Amino acid sequence: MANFRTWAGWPLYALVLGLLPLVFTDPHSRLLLILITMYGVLALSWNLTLGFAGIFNFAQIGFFGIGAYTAAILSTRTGIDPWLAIPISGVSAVLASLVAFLPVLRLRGIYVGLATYVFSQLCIYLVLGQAGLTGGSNGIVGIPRLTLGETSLRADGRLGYYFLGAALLFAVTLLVRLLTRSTLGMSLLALRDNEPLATSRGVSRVRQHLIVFMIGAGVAGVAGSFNAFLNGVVSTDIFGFGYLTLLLSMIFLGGSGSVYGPVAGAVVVTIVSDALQDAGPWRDIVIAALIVVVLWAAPKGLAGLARQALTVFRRDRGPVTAEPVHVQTSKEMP
Amino acid sequence: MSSLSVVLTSTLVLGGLYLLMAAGLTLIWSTLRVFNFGHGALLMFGAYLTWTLLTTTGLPLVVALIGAVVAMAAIGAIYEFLLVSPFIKRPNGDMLVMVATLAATMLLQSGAQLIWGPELKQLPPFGQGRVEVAGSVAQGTQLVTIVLAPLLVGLLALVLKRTGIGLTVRALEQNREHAQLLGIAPRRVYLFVVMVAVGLATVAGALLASMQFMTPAMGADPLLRAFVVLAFGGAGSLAGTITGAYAIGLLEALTTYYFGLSWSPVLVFLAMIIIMLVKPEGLLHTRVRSA
Amino acid sequence: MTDLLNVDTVTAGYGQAKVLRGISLRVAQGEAIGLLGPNGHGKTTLLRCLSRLHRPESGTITFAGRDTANNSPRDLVRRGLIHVPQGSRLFPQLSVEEALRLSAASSGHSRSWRESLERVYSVFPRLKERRGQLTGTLSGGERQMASLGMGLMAQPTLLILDEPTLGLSPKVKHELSECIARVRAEVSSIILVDGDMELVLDLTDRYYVVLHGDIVQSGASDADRSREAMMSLFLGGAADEQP
Repeated sequence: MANFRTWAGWPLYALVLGLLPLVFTDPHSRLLLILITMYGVLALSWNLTLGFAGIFNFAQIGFFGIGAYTAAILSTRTGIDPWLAIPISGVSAVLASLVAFLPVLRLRGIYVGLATYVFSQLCIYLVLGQAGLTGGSNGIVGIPRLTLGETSLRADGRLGYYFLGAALLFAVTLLVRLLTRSTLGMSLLALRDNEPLATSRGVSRVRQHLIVFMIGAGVAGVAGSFNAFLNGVVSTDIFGFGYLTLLLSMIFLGGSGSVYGPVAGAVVVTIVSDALQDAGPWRDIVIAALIVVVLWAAPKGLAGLARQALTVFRRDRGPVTAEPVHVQTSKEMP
Repeated sequence: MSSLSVVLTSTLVLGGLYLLMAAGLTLIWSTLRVFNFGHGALLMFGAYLTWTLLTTTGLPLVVALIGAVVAMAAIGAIYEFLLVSPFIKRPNGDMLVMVATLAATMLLQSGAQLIWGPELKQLPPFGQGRVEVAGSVAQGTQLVTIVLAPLLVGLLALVLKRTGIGLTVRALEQNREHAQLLGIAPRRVYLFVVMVAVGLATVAGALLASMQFMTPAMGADPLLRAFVVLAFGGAGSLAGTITGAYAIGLLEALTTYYFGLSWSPVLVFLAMIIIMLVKPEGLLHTRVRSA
Repeated sequence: MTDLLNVDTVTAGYGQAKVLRGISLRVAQGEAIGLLGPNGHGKTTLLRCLSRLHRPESGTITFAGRDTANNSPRDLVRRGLIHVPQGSRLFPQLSVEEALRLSAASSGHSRSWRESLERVYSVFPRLKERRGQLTGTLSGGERQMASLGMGLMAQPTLLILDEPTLGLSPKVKHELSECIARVRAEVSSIILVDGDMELVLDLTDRYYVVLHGDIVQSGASDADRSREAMMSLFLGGAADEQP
């Protein structure tokens, strides 16, 4: 019974993802939907390290960009099948994550944040330095589009890209959910909340963190290649501050440490960001302010608010007891 | 000019700029135990503010800079009050402060874009002096940077060493809980520290803006270098920061001279990663003996 | 009401772990009281609640006639409630004299710091010898003296001492207990917590025994009979009821 309730959501999730493009048919809404799936995938993958493992990983944007550049270089310089470039991008991001992981070996907390942040910035300089391969500050243009048989994924308002993105989002959501319930996920939470205890029980911090780091990087690399094939161009903007803060706002608005929160965050922030497309700098100001307000008012994000609402709702409908129900006590709990 | 003298001048100029940045970051780190990722954006904002004061009031450049330092210290106080203090004591506060200060960077950069627009701006040189020592020449703002940066940071060291507020700052750094039991209110000290750090960053920003064009993103590079300085010198020690700043200045001057502008940052950052791996507590850091 | 300090059914803890379970006690003006009991039963938590380093979950603490619920540690220091914490490593890079001066200044007595300093040096002659030395290089006993001296510099009306003789050799302990007796003469009211029961009973007027976050016994410190009764109680309780 409990199992049925837990798993019944997944076909529903797939159904919603499948039906959305039928509801939103104009090219602009389609593009938004595609962006939501891509950001959703990226936010989910980042939240694995940032939220669940509690690693101050700020290299995720680097992995995303490395995936995009790998796909762009492979598909423009070699004759490789674009579809094959997607998994290879994931692999190259995983390889890069091994380098970015080095500081995690010996550093903790905020120092890891510093080192991984620097790693992301380093990517920009490397791309600029290798202009022959990467096009330097001009970026790479003319990346071939993905096709399925004779049909371009761009056809019918980029319907193909949407379904590819939706499939990725579904798969990654499932992956994250399974991961967090696995022994790996449990050990990550144990490490995050009480490292001495976890390590004394034989959990290897480095090993578990490396695994989740690599998984997150692989997913981000695939998302990066998706971005490259979707836009047809790649530039150093992909490593930039814009993506970094956009994704942080998604994760923290949605609720870091929750499985589905980042997806909700991706939906809201993508729509808000699009609505402010013509507002110039105001767009970034609104997003930055959004981050701060969420951190102030709802540190657990939308997921936390939803959970709270659910608790209150359940209590109100629960069996009537003699004592009055104190709604506030549930909020006070840390 | 010989190659050596070029390297020497740029070492002192770069080292001075990084020193102004890193000294503030170190001070914030050692008292508040957080890294201020918005420090680069504050530098940028200070530079633009100096420009505005200069062009709207017609005051001399130095006076405009002093005005900007005061105004930025006030902005720093608001920054601390809104973005650092609310999160610092929460569980997972480190990460929240990091995210909040990254958001602040975005806020300040977009704000600058909105206020000052996209046209290129630059501050005039800070002086006309020219000094030549053993074939190396420093003039104008370069010369001012070479002299002013160590002077200001030296003054800061003196304040920390000799004054009452300096004593309070050091006490809070060394034992936060016992300091509270002596009646020291951490938040007041935090406020003071952030204001001083932002003031120093403003000076760095104005100096930088007099040597190159201002852009809303101009603070990003100095911030990253300051992080490298902290990794090198060991965050939390002013002496380590001073040595670290000039060492990184030298490293950058040398690598730029021999490998070019695009490879220099890569090499500098690689040096940082290696230092962090080999000696995570900072290359120059020596542990205080706690008998 | 002549109580300087009144603790009324205070509960406190860390997360799920409840440490204080409705503890109540009082300290009259001019009184020295001792807190006894095994480690881990809430004495330090209680003291941290008194100085507001820790926030109680319920109950009230009144100091000099006013509720302290909205006070910060700084407010209480300025009102004369001085808490000398357990085993503080002090401020390793400050000299003894810097630390003493800091304590006077941060408690709002910067004007009279020189007089206070002379007073402290007369109570702790050893500190005068070590005045220029960094506190990080002091021996354990000297560090305790510096810690107590810093407490005196703040001109306390209630001085709270948490385990001042912890980890000291018998000889140093003896020297320090003499210092505490002199401190006792300098301030009006004292709360003393120490593992050395004899020392506590010798230096205080009344005592409380804290077990499992509550007061299980109290009495006058000089009554020999109560000493024995209390001793058997808390030794017995400690032996089989460690949490």
